[in-house]
Amino acid sequence: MQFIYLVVIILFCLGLYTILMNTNLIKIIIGINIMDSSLVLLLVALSYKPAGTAPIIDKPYSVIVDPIPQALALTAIVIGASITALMLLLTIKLHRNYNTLDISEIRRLRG
Amino acid sequence: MITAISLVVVPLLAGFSFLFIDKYLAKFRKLFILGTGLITLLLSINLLIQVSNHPLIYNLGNWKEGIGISLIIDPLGGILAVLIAFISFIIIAYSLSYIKNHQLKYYTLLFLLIAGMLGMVLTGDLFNLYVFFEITSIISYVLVAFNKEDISFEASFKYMIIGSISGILILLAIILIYQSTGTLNLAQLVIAARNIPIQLKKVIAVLILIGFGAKFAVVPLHTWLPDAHSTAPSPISALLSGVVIKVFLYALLRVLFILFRIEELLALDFNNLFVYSGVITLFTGHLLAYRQDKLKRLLAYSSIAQIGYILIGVGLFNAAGLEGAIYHVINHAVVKGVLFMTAGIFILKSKKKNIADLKGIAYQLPLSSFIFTISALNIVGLPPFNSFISKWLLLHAALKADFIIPASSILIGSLISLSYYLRIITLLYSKVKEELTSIKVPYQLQLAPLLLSLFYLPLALFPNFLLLLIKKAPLFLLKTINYYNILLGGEEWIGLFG
Repeated sequence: MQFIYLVVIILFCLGLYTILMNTNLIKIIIGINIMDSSLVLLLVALSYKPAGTAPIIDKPYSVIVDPIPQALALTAIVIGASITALMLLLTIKLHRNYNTLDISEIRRLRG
Repeated sequence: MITAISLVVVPLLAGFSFLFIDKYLAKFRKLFILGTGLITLLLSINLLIQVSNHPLIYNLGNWKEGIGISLIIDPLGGILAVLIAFISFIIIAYSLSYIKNHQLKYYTLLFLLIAGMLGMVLTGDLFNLYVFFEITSIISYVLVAFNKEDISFEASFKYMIIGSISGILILLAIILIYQSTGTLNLAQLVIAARNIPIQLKKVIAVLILIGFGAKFAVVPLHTWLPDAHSTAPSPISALLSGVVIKVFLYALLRVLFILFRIEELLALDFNNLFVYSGVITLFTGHLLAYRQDKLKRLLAYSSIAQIGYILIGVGLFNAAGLEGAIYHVINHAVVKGVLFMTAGIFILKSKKKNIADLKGIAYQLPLSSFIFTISALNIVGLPPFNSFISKWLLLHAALKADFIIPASSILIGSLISLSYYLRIITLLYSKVKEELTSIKVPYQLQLAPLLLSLFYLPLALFPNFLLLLIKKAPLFLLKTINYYNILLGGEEWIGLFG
């Protein structure tokens, strides 16, 4: 069970590393997505119980999983997806205007 | 009760139903836009009148407290809601004559932005706060890129990288809070947060400081702000600089004070962290503003500096500092709104973005230049104006709390800002060789900044009226047990020093 937290930490750091070390716009977006996914994984892992079911009142059950983290995970996925879509759109526009995907060359704003 | 939720619902609904109005009832489009702004404003004033006596809680869907999502509105939330609705209304009126293309997209996004901000100040639920935080952020990214120039895409992308990482950090903080307390209700967290181990609390504090700090542009996380605020359309710049960054600051304060008691914050030296990062933010903002040659970029850097003033006031962690900070938030929102709107008129009418090219423009645009001059002198903090009062309150509070360097930096910062604003004012009124004919400006365009600048008068002459209201805010922000008591519906509030 502890193993999953290690995976979350590795993914989070990997995402941050990707954002910081790459100059390619697409790779930065991938990095942000990896970070986002690691948090979704964390949310799911926190609420996981072996053999747990959804807490539906009229059904018989003994072990239930906490539904709130899963609701949070869904919201986080939606927000992550919309941010990714918007970033990819901006990347297309930037590529049209600057003819490059390298962020170190896209620098008209200074000071 | 119902006004609280309708404040979020009305702009949200208006944003989406504008698609319909624009297609089938195009005649009523202007009426609809202005009407929505006005209704939001009236609702927020109604809410403020309610909560100024007694803070209220609204449970969505009539769930019991603590199970469902609730809105908890205390006086500070009410004040900020009125500020948001008021500035937005003026911005909407200004946009009607400023934005000519893509009106459908623009107003849909603008209403959603207003709904997001109002949601952030009214919500009583941590995860709801995160959702509204992301709504506000995503719509700010889109509106920054609204001009569709290459630099606005670039600024928006920069803002987005920093913004989405900060969003991820906030989400991580919320997960940690939920894991260690089992609740997301802000009022319940007041009690539940006492059980969080102090080490974990420090981690959460760092995450929310960086997460929200990147959003209200505390130095060194400020790099996106001058780009984003200077390349956005002028009404959006006014809204972003005036209100949006303050809302993120409010979110930070709310969460921080709920997680930590004041004694814990003082023991961890958070007051020094806040005050001195405020000082650094102030000087960085002012000194970089001094070097700018583009007007809107200068105003954006000036906004960073004003965040510094507010941080100094907030960081004192006492009632006097917070009152000064809140009053400065209001003053800065009003004044910076006017400055960006008049700068928008200059740029729209003269097609020049550089300060040097604006030479002699006061003879072409007399009224706008006059409003700009008054506002520039106001934001510097010269005595007859309202910013002077809030800066005086901040200075007084800092001196009383024995922060000598921050207190003196408030004065030095104002001197620096006087030097760069005077440079613009002298340029505006200096004579040029060629004959200048006055440019015709539609009165609707000038009405909004003129109307907003008229509010300097009551803010400067009758500060006590507003301060009486502001004085109630620290009671719920600093003494969070009062915030918890809203949940129970008690009538008695524990005094700040009781």
